Amino acid sequence: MKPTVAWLGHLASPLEYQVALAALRGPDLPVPALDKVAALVERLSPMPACTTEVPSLTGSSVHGVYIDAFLLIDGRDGMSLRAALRKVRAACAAAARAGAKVGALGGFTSIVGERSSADLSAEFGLPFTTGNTLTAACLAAQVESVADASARVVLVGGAGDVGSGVARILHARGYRPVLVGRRPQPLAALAEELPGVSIATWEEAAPTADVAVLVASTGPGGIDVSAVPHTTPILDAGHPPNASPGHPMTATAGRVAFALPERGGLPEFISSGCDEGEHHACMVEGAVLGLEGWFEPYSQGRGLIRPDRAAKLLDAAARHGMTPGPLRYRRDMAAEAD
Amino acid sequence: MSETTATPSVAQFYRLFTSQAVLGESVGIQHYAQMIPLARTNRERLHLLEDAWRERAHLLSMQEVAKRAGVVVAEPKTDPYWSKVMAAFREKVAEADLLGLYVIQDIVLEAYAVVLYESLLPVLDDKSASAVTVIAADEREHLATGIRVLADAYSKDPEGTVERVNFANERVASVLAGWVKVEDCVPVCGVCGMVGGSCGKDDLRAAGVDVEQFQPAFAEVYGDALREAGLPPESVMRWLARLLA
Repeated sequence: MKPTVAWLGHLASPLEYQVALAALRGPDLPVPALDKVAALVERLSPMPACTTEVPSLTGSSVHGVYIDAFLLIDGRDGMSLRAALRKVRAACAAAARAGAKVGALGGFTSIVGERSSADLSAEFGLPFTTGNTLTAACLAAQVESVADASARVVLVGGAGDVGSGVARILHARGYRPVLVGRRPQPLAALAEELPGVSIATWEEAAPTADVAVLVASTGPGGIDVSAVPHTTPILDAGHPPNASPGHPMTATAGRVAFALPERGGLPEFISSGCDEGEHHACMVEGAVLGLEGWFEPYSQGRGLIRPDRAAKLLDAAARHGMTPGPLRYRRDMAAEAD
Repeated sequence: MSETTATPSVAQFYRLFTSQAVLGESVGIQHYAQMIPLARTNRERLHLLEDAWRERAHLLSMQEVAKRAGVVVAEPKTDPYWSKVMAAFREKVAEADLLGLYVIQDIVLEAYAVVLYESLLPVLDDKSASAVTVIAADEREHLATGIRVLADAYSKDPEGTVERVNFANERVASVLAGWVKVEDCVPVCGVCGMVGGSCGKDDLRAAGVDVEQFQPAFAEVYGDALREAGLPPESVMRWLARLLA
């Protein structure tokens, strides 16, 4: 059976690959050393890891295949953009070979594709979505769940594809977010496009934030959140997480919860870095496109996310029982664990 | 490399490479010959005979490469890796399990052969590279035959087919993956008992062969073959995971 959707992704770290490899090998074989795993993953070609059936509340379902791109994005083990692009291309080729009708680029596969200026959809004759529209829509909905439009919402990574999408959606809902980012030019262009939106440095914005949304493409813990007040929610959409550890109000964000069985039939591989019962919105976008029969590059990257398209996708996802995940703060999770 | 030179390290590399290739091709001849009596039709019998004949041609071609390089092909009576492979094959012969034999020979061994030959191409002199290119293309054809047989078998009997792949993976693919493991022989190889790469891996590395790429490349070609035959990606991942690292 040919898949309708191909999810392209990767695990968050060599450690996650080590854990996955150990589980796949079985208990009779020794767990390979971490450095061996990292060296191996760097050299492995992308390949289909598993197939799955994602059910919808409507009673239909969509068949898909998950292709691991074997991208290492840890700061120490991270690979060059050129090497990463080679892997992303190989993963796209595997998706096309599998006969999928739409491909969903998860995590750094979309970032690599976007940075390279390659038109993967044209190159492989298969529409690829970055999945960022649903991520941005979920994040905006999650912000709305914790703060009203008068709140000072600080968007770190505001110039990026997801960040600019969140800014546009929130702005359309009356919010006036503060943009933080590394690239002044796109930040300024976005601030000009969205009246009332301001630009600040993270050092300026962090201590006064009512809500902080982290959507930067950093390595693990790449954003120091120690200056953020301990009562301020930090919505961390990074994979791996952007926030430095220790802040009690940090919550994993940009994830989707399923009304149907746990993770909606999506396998463990794709759920790397998600809280239990949730999944990355970028991957879920692929499932929604498959379920709806929208075989198009719905999210193309490069700051093109629009509020109306985000709302349309969020509505479609909800019809299938896929909604923005509840925010679970580290503080509450630690208390539960105790 | 445009011409074979006679430095000791190059000669050592050619001795190792041609000896291993001749041994592998000789195993191929024996395997196909043992499959012939189990063939179900004359057409299949002739096909297997032709496969054995092609392995013979490869063997002769490798002997020519050795001769040109001025090295003598070693003919070990026992080899710790190939002995295990052949023992597994004999078990399947005793069971008259033709499908199991196809999986071992046409999928696992041919995938391995393709990877080894293609990995060596960049460091070979022009004439040797031409010979190896022809052999690698033949091995890819054998692999394609294996994929067709496996796909047909899986469509008719998924459980039985998975059982055969399990056997071949544990008893053959894992042994081959062991040989191409880089650190496996430090301080003493757990399979051949030789010390610190003296089985030849260091010679390959010295000749410029990317030894570290063998295992991932084997996983790629072998995994692609299994998936192309229709075996589920999740099963293939489990099989590959047992070979890697």
